[in-house]
Amino acid sequence: MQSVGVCHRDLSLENVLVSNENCLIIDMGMCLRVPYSDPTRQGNVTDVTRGTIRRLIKPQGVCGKHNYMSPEIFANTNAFDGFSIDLWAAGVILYIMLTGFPPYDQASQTDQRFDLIVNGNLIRQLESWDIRLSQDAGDLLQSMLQVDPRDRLTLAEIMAHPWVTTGEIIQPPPLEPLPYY
Amino acid sequence: MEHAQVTFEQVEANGEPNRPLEFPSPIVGRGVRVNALVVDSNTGSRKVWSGVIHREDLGMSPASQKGGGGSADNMNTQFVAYAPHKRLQDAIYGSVWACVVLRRHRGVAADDAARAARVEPGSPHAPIVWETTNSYVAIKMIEWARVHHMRGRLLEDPIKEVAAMQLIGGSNPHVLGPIEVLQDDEYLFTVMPYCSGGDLFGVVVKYAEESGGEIGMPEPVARFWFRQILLVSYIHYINAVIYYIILYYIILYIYEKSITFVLLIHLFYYPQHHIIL
Repeated sequence: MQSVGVCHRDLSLENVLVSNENCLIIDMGMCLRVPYSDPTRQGNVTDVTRGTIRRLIKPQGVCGKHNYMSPEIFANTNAFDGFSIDLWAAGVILYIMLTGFPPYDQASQTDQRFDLIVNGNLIRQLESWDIRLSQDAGDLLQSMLQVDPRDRLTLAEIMAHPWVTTGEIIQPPPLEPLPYY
Repeated sequence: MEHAQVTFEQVEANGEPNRPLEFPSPIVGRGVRVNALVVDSNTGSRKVWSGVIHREDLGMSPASQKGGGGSADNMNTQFVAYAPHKRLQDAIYGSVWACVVLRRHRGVAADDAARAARVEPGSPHAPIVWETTNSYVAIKMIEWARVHHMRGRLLEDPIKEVAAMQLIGGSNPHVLGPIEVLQDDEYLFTVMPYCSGGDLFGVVVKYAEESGGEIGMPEPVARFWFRQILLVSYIHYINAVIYYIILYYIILYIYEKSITFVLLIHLFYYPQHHIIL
């Protein structure tokens, strides 16, 4: 049986195509295949199928769109967790969905908006612009957009977050079919 | 399930950072672009459609070559072509098109075409006439010339993209990878499920326009899309070849973690979910 451990590195609103009730993630040209510890040969790596824990990935260059890029990819100095960088981008996607604009231009402390967000002021900054999110939404965004990947929520934690698990869900109305000619 | 739960510290403590693994080589078939006679199934009108894409070895699968006696059904399912209809977006090395799915036409127009080519209607030597279906696919068309021109200058690699899609799509019919991947001397064609709603960025922009300013979508709508993205990410992490193994684990996970049933309902309710990651 083959299972797959792949990180995308370029998640963005533009790369999520939508259909009536599902979505399709495209533009996989920057995908990486995440290394996992090899259970039989110590120190070596293998793919996801062996049921072991993944490894960090050595820096692979600055890539993806700046609006969605995680600080560790922008810095390109330390090894990164392939899944953590995608979850950072998912946090940016949620931020844009809820506010209508991107949270920062560049994932570095020299970007003032970025600096405020990663220092725990995400909600206060939005309030200063008169944008009020629910408390759960603000908490989820702030917990996903942490500069240190050790402080970020894991996928399992995001899926168990109250904003995701509770509250009203509105499915968008069906779309017009594509006209023929 | 544990991939989604593993923390950065655990990954860090697990061993030295490594280079990413290589993807297995992609499987790419030989394709052609032709000008083809196409019957519009809705109106009955005929037209010559230029740039229709299909496999080179139509109806010549190993099975039909050997036995010579594939069933008619079998033969028909091998006759699939794609007619470029509308350019959806530009890509770095080419563009993405919405294409009408065509199937082989077996009617008057095909008989006429056979007679015009001086062969018996229904003969294997008769020219292929196509008819439209109401299905669409998206085809990413990548120009080899541009790929070679840019080689080594961009991190985005179209060959790796196809390999990644095929790896993720795997043999699971419900977590879709590409439908097929073809190439000719000029282009690489990746045939993918078509999503009629554009991208999620467009959805956000529409909300902003309707409300007359920079504002996002209401939280319940954002929740809907965000859960969809999580679902895809989830499958991303645990992608197993057998769909029902995924289902089984999700059920277990939901019980363990008391997550609401929504993910589960989505999976049951949309078993033909067109998701890749």
